[in-house]
Amino acid sequence: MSAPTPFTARVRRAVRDGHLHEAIGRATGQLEARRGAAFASLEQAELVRDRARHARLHALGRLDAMLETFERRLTENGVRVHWARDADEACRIVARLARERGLRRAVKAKSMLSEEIRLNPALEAAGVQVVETDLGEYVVQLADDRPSHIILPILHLTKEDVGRVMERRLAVPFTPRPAELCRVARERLRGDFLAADLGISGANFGVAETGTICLVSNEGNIRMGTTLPRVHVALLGIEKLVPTLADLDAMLKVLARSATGQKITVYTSLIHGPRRTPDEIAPEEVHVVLLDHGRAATLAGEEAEILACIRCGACLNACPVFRAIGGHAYGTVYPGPLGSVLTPALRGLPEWRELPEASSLCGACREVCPVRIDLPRMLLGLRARGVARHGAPLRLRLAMRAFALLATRPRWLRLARRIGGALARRFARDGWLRRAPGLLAGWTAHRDLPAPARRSFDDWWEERRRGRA
Amino acid sequence: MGAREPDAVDGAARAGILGRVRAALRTARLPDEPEPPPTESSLERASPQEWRARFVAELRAIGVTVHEEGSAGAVRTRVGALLAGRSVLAWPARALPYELGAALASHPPLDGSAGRAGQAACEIGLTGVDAAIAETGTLALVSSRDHPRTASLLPPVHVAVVASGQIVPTLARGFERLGPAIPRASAVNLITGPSRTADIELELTLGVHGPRELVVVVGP
Repeated sequence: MSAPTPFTARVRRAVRDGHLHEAIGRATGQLEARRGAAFASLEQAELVRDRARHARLHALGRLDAMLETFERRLTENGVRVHWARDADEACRIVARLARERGLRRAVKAKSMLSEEIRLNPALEAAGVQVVETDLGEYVVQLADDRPSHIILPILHLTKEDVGRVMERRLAVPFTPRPAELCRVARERLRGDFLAADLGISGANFGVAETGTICLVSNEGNIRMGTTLPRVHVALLGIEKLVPTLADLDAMLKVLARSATGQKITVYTSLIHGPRRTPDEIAPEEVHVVLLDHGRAATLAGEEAEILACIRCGACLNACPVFRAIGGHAYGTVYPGPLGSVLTPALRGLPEWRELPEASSLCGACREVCPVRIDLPRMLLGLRARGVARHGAPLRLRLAMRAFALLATRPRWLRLARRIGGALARRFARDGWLRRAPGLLAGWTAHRDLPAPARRSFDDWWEERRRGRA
Repeated sequence: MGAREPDAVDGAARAGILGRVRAALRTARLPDEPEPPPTESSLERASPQEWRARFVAELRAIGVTVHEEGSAGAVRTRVGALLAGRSVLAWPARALPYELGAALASHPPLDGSAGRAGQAACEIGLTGVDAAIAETGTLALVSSRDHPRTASLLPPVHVAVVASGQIVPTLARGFERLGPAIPRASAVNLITGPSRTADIELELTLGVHGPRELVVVVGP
């Protein structure tokens, strides 16, 4: 999943895209407002968040035992459990299941994990046709695009964009009306659901105590895909567990509120295995694939806390950087603050060093995180490690060295400041410097620099001291 | 249920992952925080009448049509009127409350034993519920042969019949009431309002894959 163009180039392009800017601004602003209102309606909201956080950290703190309990309960419930160390292994397991059973038509729920392991190309190579069924993901698939937000995959598209995609790919008359576009998708996908023999989903949570696979959706596509096909395969990262159903209750209270501002999603499915009698309408087989793919290694490191993330998307909506550049510019499956910690943690820092740099460290993400993950702490830690291990850019190193040289020699420093101050004042207009040379150009490209005061603090201090003497 | 033995690759993967997790936990620096006190909902201390009032209010707030009926006879009349002249996909008569099956005898509904295409063509779905959650206006449906999932999913309209005694204040109480029935069932579906999406420019649209209309009849 390495990105084709440099991060800075992608950012520059995104920042210039006014259309994108407006779409993101509108959506994230609305989602933020809805989130606030939804938490206001929750009794003891802060305590519920504490409980949700505790449930996740508690499960992570004894993850080996939790996984074993979860596996045992799943097996008792009639679910087949598979373990995958990495993306390849997970894709091979699902492809093999399909091949052995002759499954050819898959309907798929939105699953960030499946994006992470690039499951669709692997299945298509194995001769399985995969149809995305979440409306946003369906459009992404039709447009051969990529999701730009983990909750709202087509945040970056207007209704006209969606209308044109459907006109082009489904040969239907153009319409920009969302209700019409939904109707078209419903009709098309209805046929796919009824014909599918394989349903693929991720999981929002696994409950260890009961062996529950918990899936939430508003559209009903997940209910369709876990009800109609003969086989259901659910992909879970090994970090997705909570201990009990009581803990799940706390998670559900904060998840939908954080993601969409609802008290609870329209559909919450608690899946416990295949049909119990031959005449029950439910899959004949249910499989769970438990995937590591960097998670155990993350648990061992400084970013272990990010594994408590419940993928609600609240930190994306709150982040000034995400709002400025959108999801695509990150070049990752998980954009925004969570992705800027999770991606280097899972995939390695050298390749993804720039992501933690793309933060203002304002702390808005920590504020809105329903499980209070300390994202700024980890962003800062990753930056520090990046510099410690791989060094800072040459220009920055030289500049810092020059500064150190001056700052430890008061006379030089005073002289340099006098010269610099005089120069700055000479080029300033109305007290502001609008274009600075050299390293400072980076600053003045985006904002003005106030010209230094005529009298420096040192001079003032010196005069004051003399006056007293 | 595929009762085949896990193959060798799976076995090695399992041992590898659990080993790595154990090793990680020996050095992991997760925030160690005390367990917060349990939360409590004021609704749990309220009366069943208040639960019912809240349930109805929550349903209306999310766009659900609610009919409150005072007797079993009134429920049958209401449901009969809602279904009149439409093709119905329903739970079997023995699984429906208020002897609704008898009331429907005049035009026999399809049940889960009918073919998928036939079920999908039905205009209206009729179900009972296994519990109802007042705090969020949620219906809990436990899947089984007699509670076919498709009746609340495939038709564009879903009519659910709730007895007042099935209403619990919160989801936590709902989990307690259903208890061991939860993992015993292949699935428990919690339903809160009609199917919806806001994927296109955040514009709310109903009836994407599930029903566009949800009607709840609350009986005595």
